[in-house]
Amino acid sequence: MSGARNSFVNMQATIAIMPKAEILDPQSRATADTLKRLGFPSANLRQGKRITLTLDETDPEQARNTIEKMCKTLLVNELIEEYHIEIHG
Amino acid sequence: MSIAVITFPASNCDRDAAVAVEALGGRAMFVHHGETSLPGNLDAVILPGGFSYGDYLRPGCMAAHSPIMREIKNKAEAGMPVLGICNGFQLLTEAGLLPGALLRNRDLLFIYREVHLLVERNISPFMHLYRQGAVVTMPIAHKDGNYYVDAETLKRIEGEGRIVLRYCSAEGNANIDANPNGSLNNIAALCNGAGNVLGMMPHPERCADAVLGNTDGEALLRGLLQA
Amino acid sequence: MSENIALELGLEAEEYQHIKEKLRREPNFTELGIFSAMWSEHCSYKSSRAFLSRLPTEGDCVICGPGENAGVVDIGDNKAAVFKMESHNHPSYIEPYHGAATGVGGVMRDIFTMGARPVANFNALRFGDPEHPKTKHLLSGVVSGLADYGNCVGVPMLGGATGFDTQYDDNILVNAMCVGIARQDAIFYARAGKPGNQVFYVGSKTGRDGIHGATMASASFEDDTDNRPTVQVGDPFAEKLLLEACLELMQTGAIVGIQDMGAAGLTSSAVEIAAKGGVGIRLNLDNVPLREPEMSAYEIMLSESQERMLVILKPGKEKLALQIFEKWQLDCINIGEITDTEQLEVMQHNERQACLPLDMLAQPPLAPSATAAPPDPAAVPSAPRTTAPVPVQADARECLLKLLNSPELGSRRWIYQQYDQTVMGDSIRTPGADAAIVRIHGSARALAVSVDVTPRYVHAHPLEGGRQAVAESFRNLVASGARPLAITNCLNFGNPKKPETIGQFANTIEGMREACIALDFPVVSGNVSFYNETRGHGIPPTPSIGGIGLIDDIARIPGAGFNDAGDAVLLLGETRGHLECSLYARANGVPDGAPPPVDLNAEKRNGAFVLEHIRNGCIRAAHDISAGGLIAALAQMSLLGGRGAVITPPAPHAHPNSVLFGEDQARYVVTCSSGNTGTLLEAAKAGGVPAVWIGTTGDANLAIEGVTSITLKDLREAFESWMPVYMRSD
Repeated sequence: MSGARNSFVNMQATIAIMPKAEILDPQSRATADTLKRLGFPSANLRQGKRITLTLDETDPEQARNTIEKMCKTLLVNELIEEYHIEIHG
Repeated sequence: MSIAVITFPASNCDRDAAVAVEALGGRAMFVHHGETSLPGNLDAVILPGGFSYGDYLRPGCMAAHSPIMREIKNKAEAGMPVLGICNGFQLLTEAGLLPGALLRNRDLLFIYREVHLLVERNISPFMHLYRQGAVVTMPIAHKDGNYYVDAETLKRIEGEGRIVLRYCSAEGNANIDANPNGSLNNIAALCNGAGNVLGMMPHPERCADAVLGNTDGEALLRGLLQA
Repeated sequence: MSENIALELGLEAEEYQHIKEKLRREPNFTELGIFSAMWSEHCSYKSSRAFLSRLPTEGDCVICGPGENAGVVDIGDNKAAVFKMESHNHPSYIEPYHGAATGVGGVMRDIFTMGARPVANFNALRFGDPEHPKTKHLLSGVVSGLADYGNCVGVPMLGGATGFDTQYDDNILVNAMCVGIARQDAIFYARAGKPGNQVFYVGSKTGRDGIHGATMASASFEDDTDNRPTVQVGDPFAEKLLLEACLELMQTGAIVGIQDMGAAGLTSSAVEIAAKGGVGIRLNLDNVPLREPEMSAYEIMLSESQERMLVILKPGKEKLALQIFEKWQLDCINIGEITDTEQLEVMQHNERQACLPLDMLAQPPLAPSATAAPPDPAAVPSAPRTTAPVPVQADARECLLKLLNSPELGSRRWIYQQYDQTVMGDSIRTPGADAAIVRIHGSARALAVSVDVTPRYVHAHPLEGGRQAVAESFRNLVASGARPLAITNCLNFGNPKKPETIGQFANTIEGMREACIALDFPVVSGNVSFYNETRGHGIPPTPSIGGIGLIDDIARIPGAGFNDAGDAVLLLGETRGHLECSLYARANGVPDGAPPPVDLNAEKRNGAFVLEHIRNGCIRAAHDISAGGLIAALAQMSLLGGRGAVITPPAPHAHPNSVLFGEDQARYVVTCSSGNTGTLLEAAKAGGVPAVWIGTTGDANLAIEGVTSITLKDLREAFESWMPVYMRSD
C-alpha cells in the first residue's frame, strides 16, 4: 500500500486558471484591500487556481492536446476564466 | 404527475424537493446521477440544491458531467420541464442548458436570508400561477449565486424576456440595495429560449409548507405539476 | 525507550512507571504513543471522571446515557433523539476555519454513527475582547468553518450562543452540538461482537493530519506561535457521502458495531470498540488506505484524518457493504479482526508493532487531583465579591440601547445568516429566539433545542452558575412550549492540575447536579475540555449546556415575541431586583458580584405553569428573562414580534432600574388575550406562581411608563448594527 509512487512518470504540467480580466473579482479585491490595510503599497492583484498534474505521456504535443481538452471539458469555465498550460518535460 | 429528483453526490435538497412535490399530490422519484436513463412516463425533472462534489473546482461543474445529464439534455431539448434550484441552477449553467455563470457572492460569504422577488414573467410551466409583477418571498442559501453573463448575452436574454425573477425590495424595486449577492440586473431566476428550463437561486421547495411559515413557493411547484 | 520520550508525548512520570510495571517491560515508541493518546485527558477523563459520576444520567426518557458516542432519549412513536456536544477549542484557535469545520464534522459523525440522521446543528462560541487584535480574524474564520461544513453536508445550523470576554483572548471556545433522530429499534453502538468478526475501515484515506490532537487538547498553550501539529482539514463532501453510506448500510442489518475515528483516530476507535466487548482486536496496518507514502505504525495509529469510521460487519455481509460504499465512492477495506486475546495487536510489514492489554488502555489511573474530595464551595476562589452597591441612577433608555448595541446583547445575525437554516424542510423556529424548533420529520411533533451558559455567573460562584446554566436551558425550552427532556454539555475549564480549577469544576458539577435532579433533566452525553489556559491565565469556567425538549403538537407553539396588538403582558416569577453580576452592573463599570440565586423549586413550579398554559392555549407568547433582565426580554419580544408594548413597571416601591435590569431567575414574560388575563392570574395564584399584569402589547413603541419610550426603529437600529459595524471596521 505504501508509496503508490509512479515509477514511469513522464510528463508534468501546470495549469494556471485566472478569472478573466473583465470579471469583477471580489476575492482578489478583498485580498488587495487587506494587504493595503497591513501597510503594503497598493498592488494590482488577481488570484486564481493552479492545478499540477502528471501524465503518462512522452510526447509534449500530445500532452498539451490532452490537457487542452481537460480544460475545455471540465477544468475551466471559459465564460469567466482563462488558463495557461505549462509543460515541464 | 411524475417528477424525477436527481441525487448527485452531496445533493442535499433532494429529499426536500421530493417531500414538497409529494405534499402537493405529485409523485417524486429519486434518480441516481450514475444512471444513464430516466424512468418512463416522466413529466418533469428537478435538479436539487446542495453541494454536488463539495462545490469543488466550481459549483455544479462536476455534476454537469454525470452520466444522467446526457439524458436530461435530450429530454430538455424535447421540451420536458427541467427546474434547477440553487446548485441545480449552477449545474444548468455549467451544462450549457442556461447561459451565464454563478460567481462567488459579492460579499464572499454564504448567505441565508429570506428575500423579496419580483415576478418578472409568469411563463408556463413554472410561473403561470403567479401574477406578473407580484412580489413574493423565498429563502436563498448559497455562497455562489452572483449571476454573471457577458454584456451581449445579457442584452439578448433581457430582450427575449427570459428573466423570470429578480431580487427586489418589499415594494418591488429591483435596485442595488435589494441585491443580496451582486447578480447582474438582480437576476434570481432565468429560463431558456423555449421556456422549459428554469434555473433559480431561491428555494421554492422550502416555502411550500404552512407549518414553516411561508407558502410563496407552493404556486411554482403546483404550476409545474399542472404543466 | 526513555522516560523523556514518554514525557514529551505528554505522559506523566508516574504514568510511565505504572505502564512499565504493569507490562513488565519497556513499551516501544508506537506503544508509548498509543498510551499517551488513550491516557490523555481528552480521551480518558482522568481528572474529571470522579466528578462526572455525580451527575444524574437516568430518567424516564433516557435510552442511553453517557459512555457511547452520544446520548439517546425517547421522543415517542418509536423515535429517539440522539445528541451530543463537543469541544474543538484548541484546533480552532490554531486554525479557526479548519478547526471549527472539523468540530462540526466530528460531532455529526458521533450522531450518525449511532444510526441517527442529523437534523440540526448548534454551537456555543466564546471569543476574546472584540478589540483584541485576533478576535475578528478568529470569529470570521470559525463562523465560515462551521457554516461551510454544515451547509455542505446539508444539516441546518439553528443557533447557539456567542459571547465575548477578554478572558478568552488567548483561549477561544468552539463547542459544536448536533441533534439527530433515529428509530428506537435501530440504534447502533460501539460493539465488537464475537472473535472472528472482521474489522473494516471506511471513509477517507489516512494522512499525517492532527497526529497527537488528543494530547494537544490536553495541554495548555505556552507560546501561541509554535507547537502546531499538522492541521486537520475537513472534507464535508466526504462526510456527506459517509453519512448517506452509513445510514444506508445500517438499514441492511449488516453492522455489528460502528465507531467514529475521532480524537486519537484508529487507536481510540479500536480500543473502545474492543474494550467494551471484553474481546481483543488485531489490526493490519498494511491495509489501511494511506494518503501519504511511508507512514509509520505510530503515525497511522495516531492520525486524526477526518471522515473515517471503523465498522464491524456481520460475517457474510461484506459484499453488500462493499457495494454500498462503492455506490457512494468511498473506501471500505478489511483491516483486521476481533480476537479473544483482550489485547490490542498492531501488525505492519509482518511485524508486531504493538501489543497492549485493552483494559489498561481503556482505564488509566485517575489523576491525583481527581481523587481528592471536592472542595467546599466557600473555599473556591471566585471573582472579587463586591459589596459596593450597584448604582441605580443610570438612564434606563441609554443603558438598554447601549447593551443592545454591544457584544453583550447585540444581534448575532451577521453570524447566523451564514448558516443554512432551513435545509431539510423542518425548521420551525430559526436562530434569534429562546430556542430553536425543528419538526420531527413526517410528524406533528417537534424538538426544541437551546444552548446556554452565563460564564460571569459561573466564574463568580461556580455552584450557583452551574445551577443557573441548567435552569436557563430549562426555561428556554419551556418558553418554546417544549417539555424539557435531557441535556448534553461541554465543560470548558482551565488547568485541572491547579486546585482552584478543580474546585471550580467540582462545584460547577455540583450545581448542575442539583438543577438536573430538581428539574428532572438528566445528562445523557457530554465532553470535558481542560487546559483552556495560556501562560497561566485560564478561562472563566464555561459549562455549555445543550438542552433538548419535546413539543407534542406543533399547533401549540407559542409566539416568541409580541405578534398581536392588545394582548396582556404578564410577568411570571418573583422580581427582587438582583443587580449584582448583571449586564447592567457591567455596563456601569461595577465588577461582577454574586450571581442571582437560583431557586430550583420555583424554576420547576413556574416552568410547569407556563407549559400547562401554553398547552391549553392561554399563553400566546412566552420568553424567558435572563441577561439584561425584564427590559431586555421586553425589547427582544418587541423585535421578534415586530410590535411594541406599553408597560407599567411592577413593584413601584423599588427603583425602576433594579426592577427592569435585575437578573432574578425563574421568570418569564408571557402574553395572553386581554380576556384571559384574569383566568391566568388566578391560576397562577392557585399554583403559587408569582404573577403580575405589567401592560399591553401595542404598536411602534416600547413604552415603559414613567421611564422611557423607545421606537422599534431605534431598538432595531441599536440591536442590528453592532456586529455588522464591528465586522466592517478595521
